Amino acid sequence: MDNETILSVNDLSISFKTLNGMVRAVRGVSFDLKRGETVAIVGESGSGKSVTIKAVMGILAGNAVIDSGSIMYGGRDLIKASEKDYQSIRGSKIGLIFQDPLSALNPIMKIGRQITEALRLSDPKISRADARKKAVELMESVGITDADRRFDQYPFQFSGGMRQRVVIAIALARDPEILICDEPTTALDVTVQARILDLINEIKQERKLSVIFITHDMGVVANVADRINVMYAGKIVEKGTADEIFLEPAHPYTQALLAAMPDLETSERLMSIPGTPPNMIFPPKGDAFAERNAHALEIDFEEEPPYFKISDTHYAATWALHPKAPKLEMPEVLRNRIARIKEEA
Amino acid sequence: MGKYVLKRVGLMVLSLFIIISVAFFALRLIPGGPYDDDPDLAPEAQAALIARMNLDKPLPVQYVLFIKGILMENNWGASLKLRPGISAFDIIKERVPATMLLNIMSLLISLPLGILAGTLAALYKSKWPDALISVLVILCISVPSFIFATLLQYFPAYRWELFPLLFNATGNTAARLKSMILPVMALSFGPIATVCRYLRGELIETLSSEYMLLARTKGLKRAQAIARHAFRNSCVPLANIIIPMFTNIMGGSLVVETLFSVPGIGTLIVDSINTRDYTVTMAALLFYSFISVMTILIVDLSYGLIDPRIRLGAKGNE
Repeated sequence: MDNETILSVNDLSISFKTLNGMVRAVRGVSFDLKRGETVAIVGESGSGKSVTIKAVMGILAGNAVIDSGSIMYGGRDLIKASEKDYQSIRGSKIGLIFQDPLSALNPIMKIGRQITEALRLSDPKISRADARKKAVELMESVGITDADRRFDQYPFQFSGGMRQRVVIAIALARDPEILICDEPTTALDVTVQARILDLINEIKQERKLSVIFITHDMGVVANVADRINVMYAGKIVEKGTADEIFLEPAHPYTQALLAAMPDLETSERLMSIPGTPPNMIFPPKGDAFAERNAHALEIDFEEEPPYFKISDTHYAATWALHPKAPKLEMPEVLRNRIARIKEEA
Repeated sequence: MGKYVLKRVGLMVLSLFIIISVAFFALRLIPGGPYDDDPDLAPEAQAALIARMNLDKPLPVQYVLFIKGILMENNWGASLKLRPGISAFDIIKERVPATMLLNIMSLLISLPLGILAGTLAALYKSKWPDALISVLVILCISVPSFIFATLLQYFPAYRWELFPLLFNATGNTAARLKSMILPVMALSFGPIATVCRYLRGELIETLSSEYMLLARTKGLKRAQAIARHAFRNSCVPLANIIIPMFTNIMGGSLVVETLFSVPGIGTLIVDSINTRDYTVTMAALLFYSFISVMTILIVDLSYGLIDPRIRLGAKGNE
């Protein structure tokens, strides 16, 4: 892995105009994607993770407003890019895999055509036979057996896992260098999930892709990510390498997420996070998680915490890291689990 | 597929039979008979005519004779009053071209215009073109076709003298076509609005679908994505409303034909009911029913052509 940054999101803020007011969906998100690595963005529904990557793809809904920030890619700021500029990036440089493969494919168009359509965009002069050959190869490379026959089938003749493979094949058709996976396994069975994750890891190695992986599932992240950004209420509250996030979580939200994650060894009762995420029309003044945090300090309700540096790669936005703050006790489930993992390692 | 078509045709024949039977008895419920108010007819002659047309027999016997005539001899009976003695079937045959021309032209105009307006409304959702089209749609759907017909006759035809007031059945082709413009317009406002409203809804739904997003992230331009992925998908359910639409146009044409005195089935059916010409009414009704069940059949069969999920549905998932 060389350390060249190929995509860099800086201080991105996005709001949605609604009848009730402006919804502050993303509030100052920054992260980098380095060549060949997988960066995960983790957070619950409504935390702004999907909005962030839609902004990267330039497919935000009509009522979205980008308040500030930049998305630097290939030496230019994608936020200022025209629709025409985007045309040369979307699909060909950055591919996207969707959350729900069941609805991501056009139900009345043959699978093959949906793939060759993408191929044709990169190579308008490609012959029918060549396009078909390439598409069948692509299908085989994502693990679709009997690809030549299935080329002429329709989405409804495919299972969920197979459809997700088709979606991946479409995303790969134009040979992008960045692959964005938006909860690619959420809609799938657990057994299929594992296979799709393996496939994503495999193609990432083979094609030397850089991957942005969006999920709410800490268990999934553990299998794929090099670096993790934990998002809450439109902000990245903690970022670090996978080891740092899993073994030394510093933000109370990260800890709560991890403590709520089931695994095979934990015998204690799993923790749940009380309350609901804040209404983003009126974002809370201080730490957005304070309301749901049993150990919240007074200042958490007053002032937004800055990022505290834990190591060169590990940052967290919580007052608990302030030198004067009382030391944050990790939930017991989590403490035991981390101890166990460290012992095994 | 062949078996399916056969089954559908069988059901079609059954529906037609039920329609004929109900209509036969319903028609006889109208008080009076074909020769009641004819001052030229001596009572003896009247009695003789009634006997010849079997109208003196009990209703069930008349019904059996009527059905037998159709099945055994393909005989629809002769007109009782309008053109006595002429086969009802022949009278209908004469009137079909004018009606079909009117209806098909109306359909041919309504579909593209409705699709165009619906597409515009969907693409400019919540902007002024959408608002304007919505107002027009409500106007066109809620105002019945005979009001449009009267307005068209008054303004463009009577006041401005741009078009002839009535249908010109005898003139040359150009004159005939010109006289058809107003009746076709009167018939088309409603269907245009129906198609427009329906397509707008469908298209808005498809435009916000995940597969449109995928089409965009592939790198398709917005126009390309709409043309290839949204448009066809939105047209599939459109086939659904063409059936009631076509029968609606036919229903509207009953009145519009009379207003513009188009020598079509619509005028015929009104006249024949007024004069109790049972055989002609039956034949005309059968014609309308036949067209309706045929449209349903054609639309059902064409689903498979547009939507592979229906065509291949029987083979199921793998």
